[in-house]
Amino acid sequence: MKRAVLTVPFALALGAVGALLSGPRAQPFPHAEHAGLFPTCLGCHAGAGSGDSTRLFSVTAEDCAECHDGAELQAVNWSPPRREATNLAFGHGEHAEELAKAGEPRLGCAGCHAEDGAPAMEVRLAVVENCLSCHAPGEPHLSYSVDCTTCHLPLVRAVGLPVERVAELPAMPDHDDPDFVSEHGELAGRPETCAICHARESCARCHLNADRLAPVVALGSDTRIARLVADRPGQWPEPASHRRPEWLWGHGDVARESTARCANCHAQRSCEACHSGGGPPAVVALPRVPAGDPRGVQIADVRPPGHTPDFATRHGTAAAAGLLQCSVCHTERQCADCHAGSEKPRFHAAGFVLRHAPEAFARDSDCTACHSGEAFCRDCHSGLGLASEGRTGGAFHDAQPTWLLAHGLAARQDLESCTTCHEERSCLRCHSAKAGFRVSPHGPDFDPAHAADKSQQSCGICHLTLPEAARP
Amino acid sequence: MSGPSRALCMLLTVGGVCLLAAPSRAQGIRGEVTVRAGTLELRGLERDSLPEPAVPGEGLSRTLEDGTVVTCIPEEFCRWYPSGDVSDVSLVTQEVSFAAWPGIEGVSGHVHVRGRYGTDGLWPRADQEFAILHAYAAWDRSDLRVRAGRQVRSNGLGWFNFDGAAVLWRGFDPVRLELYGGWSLAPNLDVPRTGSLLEDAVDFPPGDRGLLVGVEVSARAGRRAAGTLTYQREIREDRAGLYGERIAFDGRATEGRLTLDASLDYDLGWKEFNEVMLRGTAALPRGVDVTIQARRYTPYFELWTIWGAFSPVGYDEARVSAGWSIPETGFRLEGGGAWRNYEEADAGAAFVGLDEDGWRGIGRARWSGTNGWFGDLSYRADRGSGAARYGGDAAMGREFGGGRYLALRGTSSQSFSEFRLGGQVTAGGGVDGAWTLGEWTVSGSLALYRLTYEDRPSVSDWTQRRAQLGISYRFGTEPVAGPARPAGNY
Repeated sequence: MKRAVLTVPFALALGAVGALLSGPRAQPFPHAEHAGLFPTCLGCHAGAGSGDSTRLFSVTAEDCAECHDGAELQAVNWSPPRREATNLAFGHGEHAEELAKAGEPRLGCAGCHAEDGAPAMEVRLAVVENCLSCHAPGEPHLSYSVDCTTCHLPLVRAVGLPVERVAELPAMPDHDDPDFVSEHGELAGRPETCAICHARESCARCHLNADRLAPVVALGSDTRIARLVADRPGQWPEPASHRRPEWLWGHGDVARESTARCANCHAQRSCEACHSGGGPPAVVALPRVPAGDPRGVQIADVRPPGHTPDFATRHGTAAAAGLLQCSVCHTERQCADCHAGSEKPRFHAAGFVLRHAPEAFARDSDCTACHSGEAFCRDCHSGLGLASEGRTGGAFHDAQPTWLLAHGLAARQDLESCTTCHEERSCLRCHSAKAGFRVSPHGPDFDPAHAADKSQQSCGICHLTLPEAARP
Repeated sequence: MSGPSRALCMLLTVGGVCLLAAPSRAQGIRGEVTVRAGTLELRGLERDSLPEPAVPGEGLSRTLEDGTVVTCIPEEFCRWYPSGDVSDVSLVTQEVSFAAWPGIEGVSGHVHVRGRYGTDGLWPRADQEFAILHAYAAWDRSDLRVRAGRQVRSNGLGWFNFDGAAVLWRGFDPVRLELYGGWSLAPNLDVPRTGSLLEDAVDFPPGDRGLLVGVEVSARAGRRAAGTLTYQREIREDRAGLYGERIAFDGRATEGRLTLDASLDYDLGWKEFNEVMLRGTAALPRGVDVTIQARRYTPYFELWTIWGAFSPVGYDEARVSAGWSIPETGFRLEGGGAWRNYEEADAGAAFVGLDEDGWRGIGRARWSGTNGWFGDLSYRADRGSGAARYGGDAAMGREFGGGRYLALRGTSSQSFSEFRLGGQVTAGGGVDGAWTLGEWTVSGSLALYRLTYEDRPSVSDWTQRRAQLGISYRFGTEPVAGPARPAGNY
């Protein structure tokens, strides 16, 4: 309590003296040259004793001219310094009064305005170390152990401080620490300290949720800070937790539990880089910034673990397993873009249709996942004259006189490819139980009873006299 | 109810749900309209012949003076296939998709339709003038989701749509159960199997629509492991037989930097494992990732076709790939290879000597600069049963953000088909890009490809030209708050 009682008047007094003494820097009064001439400081600084801050410079030019009359001493053209605004919270009268109330001895002018051991009238603006020797003994000036508000006003209240001076305010040493940006939230519990140098705009440069954070809102708004940060982009360093491999899959839990914390750096747009369709509630709760606004973490092309570059052709198992929850990032429309797409996605390489045979034969990717062999592949092959039916009657096996001997092996190995040109009748000319050469197409493991049990209609195509008779 | 009537009914239902509800904070509509026009040149083959006696030489295979190899039928004719005329083919595709939230909590409607207008029948499916890809209404609550109408399913058995209903129950978390059923559609055609698309394409089209019923059971262990078991049965509408009966399991487990995927598809109809796959991916330090995969593949054919009775064989494949990313520079290097060996086919003459195994090698270097520039170089060699190709691709371009980019692409490859004469060299490239202005996106591409042929004098070299232009417009936003969903569903 005693400390608090002392603090306010001291701060006010210090502020007032600082405000006045810091003014006429171009014409500082040469105190040392007048050492021994004046018995007391109050002759010129009456207000420092009375507490009248308007009379801190009670001396006038006429007072100087009494000696500096141009005859015995050179005339001077000195005038009291112009009062300049600062962010100090000090008043001489209040400081003295608090000292008295606390039973502390009266503090002489040199107690604040002269360094320890300095000769008489070797004075300057209040020596910070002198202030700290009482208010924060042993602590450096820029330290979180020091209560800044003892001597300083919050920036938004130091309205007269010009923007140039605001820009020169010294930073705490830890502000240069690489981890400071990601860890400074721990200081949010003492916003009064931050408020000495910062305003809401300082935080809003990076914090997208600045208007929702109580410590930030408490700072107040300041046009000087707004000017200073206008051209400084925000910083959103990646926290260590985000760099862990499991973060991508596990961040949903964190987001649900502390959405507000995500909003420090992330706008809805950050999440929409992956989360489609408006996203989960945690995304919806994030701030939405206008299009073109550079604020917020920019996320692009995030590939979850396992989304290897060939994932486009290998994702079927992962999608079907249910673990990936594809809908988090993809809409069903996006699936349709490829699986039922026309020309929109660049799934295949440029010019693929001109050279697709190896992939088709090897089934490197599942063609039937998107294309109908009968109505897509065969449609084109027959139109170009390659298929067994169509305008040429089959040109693919051109100049292959022994093809008949080879086709059995090829058909067993590549039957899907065969059916992109051949309809059933092509094969039934020979492979039918009721016509042609009656060559059985069945392999050694073929189970006719099982096949008949599942679909007698298919059996009837070859084994009944009239294939259509097998159909009701 | 006929197909068009059913489609109209679905559209009216979904539209009604969207339009009749009173406006509220949770009401919204989001959609996209896209028009794309493409044109390219195609060139087919013609048939030509000479009387067999007029062709010098003997045997079934002879060579004309210009080097053209012809196939001769004694005392009849010798036949070959020269190149035909170049045709200009154009296609305009229009798509409309939208999702609407009428303001009733958890209720939404989703529609995606497509129209095609082609200049002739050369472009596949150009004569399918109108298709409904999906049109369904959904009711989505925390534990329950119901969808009714034409909807898409994506599960271990593939990606397909059907007309019917699906009910998902999430109340047994971490176990999910989903039942679905209805009328099936021809895969990737958006029409019933009895539709004209399939009737025109096959000799023995299925005579009835298919009735589909399926169940999916998914379970998960936190974020480290999950698996889904799917059973699906598709029967003829007259109950006279099956169109398909399959079961699938897909699982994934992750532990730190290691991911393990497993997949199994079994066809109960033809008693075949269509796919058995095990894949491990390790994300190693310093940006290195390695993938090792073992796979067995056998093609799947629906039971209404005769193809399964031809006893197709599958192959076993081993695949290894590795990548090295250097994020500071934006570079990524990849390399990999695969080798596969076909199952014993018990067919064909042994002396013919067709390939019974195959291999693949690929190398790729990609670069993505911080200023938007990107580059991509790749080389790939494929050799296997049926075809082979060796060649590379190159691309360079710049992304301008917001979905805007411009790229130059080039390609050159040499390909051979094992089952026909000659080879083909393809070289060319083009430019493509996209530009977004507000809700509008314009995309387009221009390309030229030079095709030269080896050992086929009757087929002349030519240059194919391609162009495409697309314009899309997005509209609307989703409602402020979506339907309630359970924790962990994101």
